[in-house]
Amino acid sequence: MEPSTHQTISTLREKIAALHAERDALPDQPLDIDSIRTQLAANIAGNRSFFEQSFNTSQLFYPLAAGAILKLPTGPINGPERPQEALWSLACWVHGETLIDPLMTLVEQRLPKDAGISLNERNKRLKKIESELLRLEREEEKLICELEAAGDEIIRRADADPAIVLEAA
Amino acid sequence: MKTYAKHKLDALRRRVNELTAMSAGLSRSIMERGDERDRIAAHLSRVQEGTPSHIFDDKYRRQPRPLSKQEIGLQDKLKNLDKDIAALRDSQQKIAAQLAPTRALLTRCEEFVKTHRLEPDYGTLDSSDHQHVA
Repeated sequence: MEPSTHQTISTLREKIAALHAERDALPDQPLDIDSIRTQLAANIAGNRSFFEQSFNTSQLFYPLAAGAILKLPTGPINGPERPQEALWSLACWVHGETLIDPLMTLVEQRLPKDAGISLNERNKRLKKIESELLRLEREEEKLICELEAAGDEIIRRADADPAIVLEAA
Repeated sequence: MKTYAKHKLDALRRRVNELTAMSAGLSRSIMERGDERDRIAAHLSRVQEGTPSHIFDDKYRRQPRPLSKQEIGLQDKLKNLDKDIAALRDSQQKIAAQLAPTRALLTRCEEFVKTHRLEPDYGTLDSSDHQHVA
């Protein structure tokens, strides 16, 4: 016996929920050593240039960083209330890539061997999940529209993709 | 220029309005029946306990008395009202279970249209749009 449209939608929704959970869990999965190194290097480079830029353009960041070092109070006038981040940017600017090796030694001591996935692999998985979600949600919306056209009614998910529901093109 | 299916957003809005109106109607019914129920219950309890119905009656405190035939009928009515109220609350919960996700989706859709500056696509008019156009 063929499943009813309601049953099919319900099955699709289970798959969609599972994919959402998988997608949401992905950023929490540890990266492998090489990817952590790559990300760390990118982070340091980014913070370094951000610090330089802030310094050069006399934005509010430099006084804040100095204030954090001297333990001066930081308030809304002096910029964001994130002295640790300001200090990290300053450290990146001063030490640059020399920070990578000692930090990676710490990471390697804590990360189990062969643990984690590569950044590439994570992005690939994310892409795959997104494209599968798109396919399933389109199928779900098509079935909902068919039911509505037949005078039947079904509640759409609160987290349905507006682009799909509204057929945005 | 990016577009969105206007009739689908309108249908969502209509559905939210319908469900909101249904929920408000149920709330009114529950309140009306609740008031009636409380009035009957208070009367029966006064009769059964002999409680004066007014503070100044204290001096002439009544004695408890058995319920009259009419009041026994009121007891049945009370039970029916309780059943009615329970059924109405049940319906209200079912409506709320539909309303919450539909309203959340409508808000997300409206924000999506605004954020992406989408233009309405009138390509697929539904019956109400036809009426509007006519």
